[in-house]
Amino acid sequence: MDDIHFEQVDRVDALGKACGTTEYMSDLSFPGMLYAWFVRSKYPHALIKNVDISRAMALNGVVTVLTAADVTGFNGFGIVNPDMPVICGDKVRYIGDTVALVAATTERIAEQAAALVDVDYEVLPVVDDPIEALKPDAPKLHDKGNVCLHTLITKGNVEQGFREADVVIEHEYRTPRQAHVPLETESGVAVPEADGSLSMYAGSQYAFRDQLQLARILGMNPRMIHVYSNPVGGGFGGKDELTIQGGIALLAMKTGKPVKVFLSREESLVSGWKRHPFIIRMKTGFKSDGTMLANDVTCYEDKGAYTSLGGPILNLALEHASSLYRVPNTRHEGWAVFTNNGVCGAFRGFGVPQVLFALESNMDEAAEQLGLDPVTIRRKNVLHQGEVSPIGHTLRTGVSMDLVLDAIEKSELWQHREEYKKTDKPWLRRGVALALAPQGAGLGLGIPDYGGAYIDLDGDGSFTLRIGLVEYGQGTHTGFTQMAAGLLHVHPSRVRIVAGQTEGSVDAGPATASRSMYTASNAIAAAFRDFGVKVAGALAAKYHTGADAVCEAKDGGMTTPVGFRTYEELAQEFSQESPLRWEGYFVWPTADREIPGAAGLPHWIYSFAAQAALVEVNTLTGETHLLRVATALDTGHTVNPQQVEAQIDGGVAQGEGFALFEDTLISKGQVRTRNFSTYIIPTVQDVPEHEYIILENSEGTSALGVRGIGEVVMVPIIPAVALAIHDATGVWVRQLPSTPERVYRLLHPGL
Amino acid sequence: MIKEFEYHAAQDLKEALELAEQFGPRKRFLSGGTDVTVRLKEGLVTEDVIVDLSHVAELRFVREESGVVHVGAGATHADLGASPIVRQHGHALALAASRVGSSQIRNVGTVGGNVANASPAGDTIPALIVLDAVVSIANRKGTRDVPIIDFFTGPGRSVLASEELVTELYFPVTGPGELTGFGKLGSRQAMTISTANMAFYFRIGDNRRIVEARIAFGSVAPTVVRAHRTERMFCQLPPLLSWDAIRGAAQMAWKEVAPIDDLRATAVYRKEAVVGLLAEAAYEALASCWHER
Ligand SMILES: Cc1cc2nc3c(=O)[nH]c(=O)nc-3n(C[C@H](O)[C@H](O)[C@H](O)COP(=O)(O)OP(=O)(O)OC[C@H]3O[C@@H](n4cnc5c(N)ncnc54)[C@H](O)[C@@H]3O)c2cc1C
Repeated sequence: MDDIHFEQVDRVDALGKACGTTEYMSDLSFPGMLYAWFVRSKYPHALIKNVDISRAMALNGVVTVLTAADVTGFNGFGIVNPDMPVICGDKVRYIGDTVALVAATTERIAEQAAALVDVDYEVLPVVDDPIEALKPDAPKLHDKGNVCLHTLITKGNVEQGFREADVVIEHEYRTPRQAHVPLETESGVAVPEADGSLSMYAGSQYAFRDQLQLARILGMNPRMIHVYSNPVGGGFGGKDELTIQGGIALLAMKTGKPVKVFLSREESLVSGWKRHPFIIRMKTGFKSDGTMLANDVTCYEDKGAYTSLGGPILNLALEHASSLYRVPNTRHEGWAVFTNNGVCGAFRGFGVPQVLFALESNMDEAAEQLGLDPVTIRRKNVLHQGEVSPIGHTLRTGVSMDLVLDAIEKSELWQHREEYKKTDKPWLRRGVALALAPQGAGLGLGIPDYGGAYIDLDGDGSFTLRIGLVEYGQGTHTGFTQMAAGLLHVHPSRVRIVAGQTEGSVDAGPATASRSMYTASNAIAAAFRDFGVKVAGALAAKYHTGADAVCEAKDGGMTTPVGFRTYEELAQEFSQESPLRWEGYFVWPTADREIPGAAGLPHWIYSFAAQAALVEVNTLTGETHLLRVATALDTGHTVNPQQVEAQIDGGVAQGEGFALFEDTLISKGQVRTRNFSTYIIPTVQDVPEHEYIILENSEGTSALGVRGIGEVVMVPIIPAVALAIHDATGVWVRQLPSTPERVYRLLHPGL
Repeated sequence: MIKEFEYHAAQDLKEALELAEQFGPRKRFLSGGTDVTVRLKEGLVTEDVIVDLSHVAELRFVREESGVVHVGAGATHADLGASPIVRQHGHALALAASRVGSSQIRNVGTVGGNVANASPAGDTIPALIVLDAVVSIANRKGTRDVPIIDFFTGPGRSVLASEELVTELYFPVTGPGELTGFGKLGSRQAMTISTANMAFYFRIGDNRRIVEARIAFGSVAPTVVRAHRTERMFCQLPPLLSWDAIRGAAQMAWKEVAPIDDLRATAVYRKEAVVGLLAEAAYEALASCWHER
């Protein structure tokens, strides 16, 4: 099946999105709808002594005000550990925490009422440094203390490795608190239905998990909760966890009215999920020929106030802390630490960008000291299929480290880098550097990772594909219909898709972890096989063709033992049997044993990319421009070339933001970058020119050979930018984002 | 939450001036609204009447008359960037206007709003200062002219009285032998408030030396400032294109600015950066008439 050739087709959602006719959940309104306001904490860390809602309730137009006592089910949520209250009752742990919820007839009244909720606080000391927070006398956010997770993975003996090393590079690196900033902020409408059930219309990344979390909050049967989470106006991981859903669900059930919320950008930046900042101490030993001998890594993950996915993110970072290089001796240790610095959760890359910034930097520094070039030192160390990873598991699936490295070396940018580096201005310096990355895909070992898909043959001979995975911009729904159409031998326009909702589609896991296309390829292929079997069975029953009859898709229909049938004919022939539905289920392959002490590890299937970056640094101001990027990416099997390039464009922009611009600045628990004039993301004027190199090393465990690419495209660009600044100026950047002032200070250490 | 306020859209200048007098300190003008609406959202507008000037066609023009360029307060940044008159006779202003915000902001934001807003980071202000611009101010009874360097009294403050509005800015044309330029340091290429900005004017004499220089810096003091000592350094440069000499002259700027630390940058870095901005832009401009030894 992996020999299907996919034609370029337009996105299934292009027209609606380009013309503005697509209805996002935040566009919806319902008769009698109320507006919610989240009353947020005034302090980053405090005990709640009393909440008085009487003044707020008295305001004309206010329908209800809820406090913690009004939570009908379990007052908490969180994918791994539900320790984040929907409404805080006794304690607040960050300034985005909710202390009360208001529903009113207009948004304006709701906001006014929120200001009338009187909360007495007993202010507690703010915990804002993850390393300080680990000290025994640090104030504690949670009863169990400030350690969310501690993980230690070792292999070999690092001390021995360092003794044998000719060069040892040791540094501390720091990474930013990146915000997802989707165009559509956290928003949605909760609608109570006449039968007592609740419909939740809110863009998110996993309708079926939302359903369970909401059931727990409301104390309701999950079947009574219908979640519609598609389409989403951008997610990037920030809508994997619940956001506003719990609050509006409670308000809707209490008032019996639809309740809507649409966070302002400011509220989103203050209260929303972020990428975990990491402090990484990394010591790496090399032999004089560049061979890696040991890597000793300690990561401190600034978890923020609640658990969410902080543990799996720490562990994925530790899994990748020595990349997929041949390192015989490793010690990867990590601490996920609670602080009052907002909340951090899933974000494209899931811990990998942070550690690879450190590792690839140590790598280039070693190369420079040893007089090796960046390609040679990496080629010496990249692992191949069948070898043992730095954390000790055998790599059974495809490994394309060498492939992407070879391709990036041959890129036009790398080949002609000396010409690209020329400038005629005395104050400008240009540099080129490269980096590579694997990115473990899927949820990891021990976490059920599965996908289902239905293919319905409709009365007119066209198809409806039903699959849970949401579309939040990646182009996956176009890819899904192409894969289904490719298997069925029809044009993709014949396949309609119903997805991202608990009603009428089937659970296929979260749209995260670079897993959507891969999961769908196998779930759809399984449904397609079911299709062939069932059609053959039905024909056998009707025409007595024998039980071993086979059907094959061909040219808009199927060859069957009773001759070729178009899908229209099949639809008519079997119109009595309703529904004409074929079901496919698929469970991700995983390792057979866990890495001791590291829940979820190892991952089994990887994405691979290498990227080279050309930067220009203005030595007078420290301003750095990313001018050109080359990306070598292994897609396994390209389904939609335009979407692959679009993912690269977007990934590079997000990686560029991480490297040069973006950071949520929090001091003493207060967010200082509350809008886009201070939280800086790249604009179209800042993004580079691209060179795309698409490789197709078929992933053997996918029926169609595909790999996920959504995350890895933003990873190598981050170290590549930092290292290109070094190539341009000679300074090593160890803290990101590399803002003009930071670069300037590196160039002028005396300042 | 945007508070409730009274709103009047003036249809012509006369009505605008009447409304200004009627509401006095209770009113706030709105031209493009790109500063006012942000302030409204942030709850920073104390006035409770908005007088919208955006329909006053008389305020939107660019023309040249007997060696003087007149720019209406209602001219947008896009108007200035595209105007052949401004590009030719007030190049620094065209450059500055073209670096404001983004196309969307430049299409509505006005030069009058930029000046009246009196932000130390306003991008057209240093350009207008080095062009020796004059601000024309009107109230219902008449008009008065104030040199732009005297217009600002502090961050967000100016000599404008509550019943007055800015009608236009005018400055003498620049011609052959006169070089002007603008430079800006922000956090990215577009949509960025200046961490520091700078404009210069050089008149080149017969001996190819700079015989008159005007240099202004923004975002490095409570108001945009002239840098007289740095100007004198440039006037002393031999007419040879030397990067080291030009940078050396620019270095004097360090002593003429008094920036502060804020979220965008520290004071000490801002001092260094304005030196760089000036050196870079001056070098590029002087390369058109000076040569290396
Ligand atoms: C996203 C964004 C990016 C921006 N980027 C930049 C930038 O790069 N550089 C920069 O300099 N600025 C920038 N700004 C600020 C703003 O766009 C400019 O200052 C613009 O020139 C203001 O003009 P306006 O017509 O919109 O002013 P308004 O908002 O209408 O008014 C601004 C102030 O001037 C007063 N006013 C307006 N017209 C008159 C008049 N004729 N007489 C007396 N008072 C008057 C108003 O009462 C108000 O106090 C940006 C703003 C935004 C929102």
